[in-house]
Amino acid sequence: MAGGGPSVFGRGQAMKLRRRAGLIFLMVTLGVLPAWANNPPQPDGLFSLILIFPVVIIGFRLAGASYTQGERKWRILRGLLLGLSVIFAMAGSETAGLPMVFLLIFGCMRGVQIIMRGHGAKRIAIGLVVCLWTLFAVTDYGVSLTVWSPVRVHQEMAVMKLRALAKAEETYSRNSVSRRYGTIEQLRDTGTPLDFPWGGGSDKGRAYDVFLNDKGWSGYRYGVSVDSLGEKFFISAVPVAYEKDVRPLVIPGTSWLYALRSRSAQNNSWKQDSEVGQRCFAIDETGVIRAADLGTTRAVTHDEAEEWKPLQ
Amino acid sequence: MLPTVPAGLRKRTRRNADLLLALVLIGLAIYTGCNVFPQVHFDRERIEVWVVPRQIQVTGLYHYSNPSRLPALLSLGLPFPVDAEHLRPSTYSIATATADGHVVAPIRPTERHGEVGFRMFLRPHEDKWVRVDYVQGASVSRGTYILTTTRKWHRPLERGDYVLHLSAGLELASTNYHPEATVKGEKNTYLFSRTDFYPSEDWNFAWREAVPASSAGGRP
Repeated sequence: MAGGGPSVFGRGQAMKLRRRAGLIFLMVTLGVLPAWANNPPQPDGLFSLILIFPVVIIGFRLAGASYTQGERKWRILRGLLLGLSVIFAMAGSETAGLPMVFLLIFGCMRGVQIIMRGHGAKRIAIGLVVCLWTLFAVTDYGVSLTVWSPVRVHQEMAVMKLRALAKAEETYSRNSVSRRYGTIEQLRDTGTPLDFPWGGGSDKGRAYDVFLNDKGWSGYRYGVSVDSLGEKFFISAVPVAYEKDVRPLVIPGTSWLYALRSRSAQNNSWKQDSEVGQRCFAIDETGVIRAADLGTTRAVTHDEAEEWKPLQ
Repeated sequence: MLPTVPAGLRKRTRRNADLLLALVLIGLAIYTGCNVFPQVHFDRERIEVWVVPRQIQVTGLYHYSNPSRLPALLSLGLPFPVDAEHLRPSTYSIATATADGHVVAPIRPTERHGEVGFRMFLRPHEDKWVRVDYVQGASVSRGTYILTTTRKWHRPLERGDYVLHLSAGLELASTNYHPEATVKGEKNTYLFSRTDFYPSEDWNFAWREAVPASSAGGRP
C-alpha cells in the first residue's frame, strides 16, 4: 500500500467505495438539475464547497497521513483542476455539474486515504468527517442552486403582470368608441392583446383566465375593478400566503435548513411553496405602480392603495 | 515512411506532461474566468421606457451571440442610472427570452455591495435574448437610460431600437437622441433607431406636465 499508513480497506474495497460514492453523487446532481436559465449558488453553498479544501488539508495533518510520490508529482495539475472546478461552480447551475463530480471524488477519496494512510484510531473518525463534510458540502451546494425563497421572483412577476394588464386596459380604452376601460372578461372577449411576457403568449384567452383564478398564480391573487363609468380602473396583486423574503446567508447549511423548514411548514409539500409573496402591488389608470408590505395578506381597496408609496 | 518523434523529445514530453496539462488548464481558466477574449458579441438591443408620474418603467431586450467554436461564460453587470433623484430599483427581473420578448426562463441575479450582476452560459454558435425589467422612482421630471456601457464591448451595436412612452398628461420636454417618429395611434410615444451604434452618451430625456389645449395660447 502506498503512503505508509496502516490500511483498513483492501484496494478492491476502496475501489468499490469510490464507485458507490460516485454513483450516489451522480444520482443527487442529476436529480436537482434546475429548469432555470442559470442559477448562481447561494453564498452558503459555495462557501461549503470551498471549505472542502481546508477540511481535507487539516484532516490529513491531524491523521498524520501523507501523500505518495505520484500524488506529489501531479499536485500542480490537481490544484489547477480543482481551482477550475471552483470557478465553474461559482458560475452556476449550467456549468456546475462536472466540477461537483470532481470535488466529490476529490473529497471522498481524500477521506478514504486518511483512513487508509493515517495513524491511530482517530484516522477513521477524521476520514469519516472529511467524507461526510464533502457529501454535505456538495449537496448543500446542489440545494443552494435549486431551493431558495421564491418571494422575490413572485414579486417581480407580479409587477410584470400588473404592467401587462394596465397596457391591455390602455389598448382596450383606445380601441373602444367610448374610451372606456374594461373588466378582464371584456378584455378577453374582445380579444384585446395582452403583452404578457410569460408562456409564449400564444393563447391570449387563457392568459386572461389565469388572472381570474381564485387560487392565485405564482404566489399572487389578482383583482381588477373598473368604475361604473369605465373611466378608472384598479388592479391589485396580493400574496396568496404572506412570507418575508429570506436573504441568503453565508453560513454552511443555510440552504439545507431553508429547504427543510419550508418543506415542513408546507405540510411536506413542495408545491405549495410557490404560493408565497411579501409585498402587495397595485396599478391604476395613471400607470403608477404602488407597493406596500402589509405584514399579512388581505384584499385591498383603491383608496387604500393610493396611499402607498410608488414602487422604487 | 512516417516521421517519428525523437525518443528524447517523447521522454521529455512524458516527464513534463503535468506541466503541459497545467498550462492547458491555466489557459482554460483565463479563457473562462475573465473576459480577456470577448468572443461573445452584444449586437442588438430593444429598449422601451414608460414614464408615468414619479416613476420610470423600463423593459430591455438584449441580444448576445457566441460565434466561437468554444463555449463562453459571461459575467454581466446590470447598471442602473442612480443619483439623488433616482433611487436604485428595488424590483427588477432578468430572464432569457424570445426575440419578441416572451420570457423563456428567469435568470437569478447576484447582488454584491449593491451591484447587480448575472452569469450567462453560451454554447458554441449559440445566441440568446435577455430581457430585463425594472421600475425606478424619479423625484424629478427627467430620466436616463445607460447606453455607454455598449462601448465596453469594443464594437458597435448592429441595431438598437429605443421607444419612450409618456403617460397621459405628460409631454416630452427634451431628449438628447432626437426621436425619428411617433407611433401611429399612440399619443406620446417616441422612437428612434440606430444601426452601427457606438453611443458616446447615455440617453437623457425629460418630460413635463402637458398644457391643456384650451390654455395653450392659441386663438379661442
